Amino acid sequence: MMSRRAHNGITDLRRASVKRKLDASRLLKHGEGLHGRGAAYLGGYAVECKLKAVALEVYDCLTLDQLASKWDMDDRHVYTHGLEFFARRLPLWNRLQDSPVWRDFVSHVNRWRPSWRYNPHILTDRDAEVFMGAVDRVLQWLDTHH
Amino acid sequence: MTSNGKTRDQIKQALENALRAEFPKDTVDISDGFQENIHVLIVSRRFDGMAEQDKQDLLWNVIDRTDLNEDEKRLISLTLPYSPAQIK
Repeated sequence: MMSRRAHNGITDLRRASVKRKLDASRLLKHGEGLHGRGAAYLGGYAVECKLKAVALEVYDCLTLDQLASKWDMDDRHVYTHGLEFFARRLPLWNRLQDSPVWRDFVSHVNRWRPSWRYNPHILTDRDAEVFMGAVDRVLQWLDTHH
Repeated sequence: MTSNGKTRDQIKQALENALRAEFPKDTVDISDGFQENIHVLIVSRRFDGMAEQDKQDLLWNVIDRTDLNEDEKRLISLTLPYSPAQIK
């Protein structure tokens, strides 16, 4: 069984964010209108991985377990998929609220849930493109403002 | 208390009032987000068949017409406009 502690380090999380974003973009581009939901599902993970990588960098930790110790919380909390939970704990939160991508985060990116994988309904390409556009802009902002 | 002098509860009430007026027969839920943040959920048939961006634009149009200032609106960290079909 894969441990949740696999790939919990800063290097893997940084790379996974880039990879999941590419996965999502290619699925959307070549999905022939059928895979918007899958693309958005992967796009949300790109943001989750990025937020966790930023947290590790900002708090000078190598792994999520170290971050849990630094934040003095049960290590289960740092494995959460809650984007708001994670982003809110970062020093960049107030700047994110003041940034041009705040409404992208509020209206689109923060709606992401891991449970989307259970949703059998088609997400139209138009809606998926809007979501992925917001993901792109938030990721770019995180890249340059953390 | 924000720079405009509103408490968090007053901000939630202002949102509730504006959204209730716009969606009188629909589900309007203004709830607590993580820490001081506020989440806005609307379930309405007015959203049937609308693209996600159009739903968000409709919702934000109502929020932007309130007297909340930008600092107060920044407490909103999640907006969820759903048509009933989306939650079945």
